[in-house]
Amino acid sequence: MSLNGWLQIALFIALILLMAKPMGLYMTRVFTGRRTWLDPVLVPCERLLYRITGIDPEHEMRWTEYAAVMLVFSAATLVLTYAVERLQNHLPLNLQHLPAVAPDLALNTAISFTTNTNWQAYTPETTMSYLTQMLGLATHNFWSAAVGLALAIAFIRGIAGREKKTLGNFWVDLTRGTLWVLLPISTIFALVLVSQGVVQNLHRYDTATLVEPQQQTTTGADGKTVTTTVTTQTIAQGPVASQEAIKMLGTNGGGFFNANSAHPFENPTPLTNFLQLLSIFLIPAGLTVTLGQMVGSPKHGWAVLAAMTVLWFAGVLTCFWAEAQPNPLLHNVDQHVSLTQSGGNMEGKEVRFGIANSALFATVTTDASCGAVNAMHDSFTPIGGMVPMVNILLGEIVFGGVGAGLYGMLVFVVISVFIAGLMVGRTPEYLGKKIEAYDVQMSMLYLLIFPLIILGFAAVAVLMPNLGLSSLANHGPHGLSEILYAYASATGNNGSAFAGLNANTHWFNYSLGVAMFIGRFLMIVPMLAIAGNLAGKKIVPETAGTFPVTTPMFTLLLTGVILIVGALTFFPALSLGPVLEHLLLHAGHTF
Amino acid sequence: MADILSLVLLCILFPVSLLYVSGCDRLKGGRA
Repeated sequence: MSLNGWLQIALFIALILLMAKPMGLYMTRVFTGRRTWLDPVLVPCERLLYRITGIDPEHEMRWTEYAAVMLVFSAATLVLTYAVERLQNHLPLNLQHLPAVAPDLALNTAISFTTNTNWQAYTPETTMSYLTQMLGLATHNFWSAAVGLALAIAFIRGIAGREKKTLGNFWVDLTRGTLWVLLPISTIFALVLVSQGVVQNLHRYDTATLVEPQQQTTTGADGKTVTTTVTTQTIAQGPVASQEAIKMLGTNGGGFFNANSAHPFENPTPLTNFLQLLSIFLIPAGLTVTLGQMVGSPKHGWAVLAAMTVLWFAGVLTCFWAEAQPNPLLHNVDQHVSLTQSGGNMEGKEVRFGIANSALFATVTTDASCGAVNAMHDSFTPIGGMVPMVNILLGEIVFGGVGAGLYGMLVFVVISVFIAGLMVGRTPEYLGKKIEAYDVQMSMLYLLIFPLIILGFAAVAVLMPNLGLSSLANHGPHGLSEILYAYASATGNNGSAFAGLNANTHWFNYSLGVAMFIGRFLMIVPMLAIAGNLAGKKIVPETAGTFPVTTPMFTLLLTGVILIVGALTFFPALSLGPVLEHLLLHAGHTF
Repeated sequence: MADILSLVLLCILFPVSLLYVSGCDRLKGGRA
């Protein structure tokens, strides 16, 4: 592990912690209807939108209406994306004359982008037209992030509300999140990316003549090998910067190119790499401050942010350490860090990013529900690769996705407060609200759906050779990791791939599609039910027996609960996957 | 055929989700 690497990691978290407060205060103003400096431009746009769509911004919604409207909106936008994909060969801006996307892949992709997952079972540059990328996919990068943001704000209102039956208006939260938060920041970010060399055009792909022709050997259907000489290369391009900015800021993660943020047109410089990392955590970190402000307890927001930071550091430390270790199977080879080499495991990593920035990116992208990658997680060491997997399996609440991370974390807060109440024999309270049976039932429903889908689908895929095993590039524990990661990534709405798995099959397209759907919407519903129930409660005065949620003790308890729930649920599966692979690697076996 | 399968899946998933909202609300004893 190099000092240079640690300095970059320290700078990253320092900037995130510095930006959390201004970002959080700004979002507080946006969602509480207070004046912001963008109002003169955006308020007329907002009013016009409500007038066109017939929305009454004063209408307050119960949690059931909030959830139903969110589902209807998601269904409508999902069908739109499906239709665009299926009809792209008849629609404009298909400069490469790409055929319509296959039905199972189109459904998988439509669910994927609607749920903020951005799982990509396709190669974008050879599958999606420019119109599909912009109208079908980039729009969802805004909408799905704005939906997550709206839901987090609704949950905060539930905590802050006093004997209220409503959580706000979904349409207003969606509109304000998009207009005031996502659009301005992503527009500026896209321009910065363009200045660094990220492509932004609507040109046809270029063809370049290779300086040195390449020999390519392929095996045909008849089993015969054919060698051809490749003399040209197709240079894919398109409206990349505009999609790249919101891909990171909205913790979406779906790349314009197959190589995602390892592609030089998506992530050309060390500065763009650093800015992309910052943009993933910007809104989730800020939301903790928004939480503190809106519930009237800024210290509670900081306590939640502290728990997130502790878990983030544990992840990046483990991943960086594991990737910086020399490969035990390479004897008599100098693998130490020096001016001439990165040292450690560089397979699947970009030389320009090195080990520190690859480990940091992998940790950050899976702490949040982003899923963008700048290195191949499949090529990480078993322990290094386990870190992104564990981050997802913990529920992506370490900063987490836009909105989704905060409300996921708040469900853990409810469980932590409940456990603390049990330990001292008092009715648990959370910021003056008594936590009762219904709140715990909904919290448990939220927590149980997640492993049920991941482990259930992974078990079916592993036990049915024609469904799951035939798609694997690696067998043994590494193969199990590839399947487990795929379902974890889909259900957790992360979208990053471990790779090594051909997921563009009927089974994976449909089963991962269902996993993404359930992992998003069937977890949102119990979360909103908790919020709706909390909103209607009285605030009881704090006493000497109230468990404080603003202290280091609370941060410690919250961190412990998250780790224990995650470990109890997934430790057996992790033991059979990355842990076993690590032990076998040191015994001389690879997969 | 695959288009119909996809649309059938969507026609199941979203209404089931709405029923799920109603079910969670009824568990509390509130109105759906």
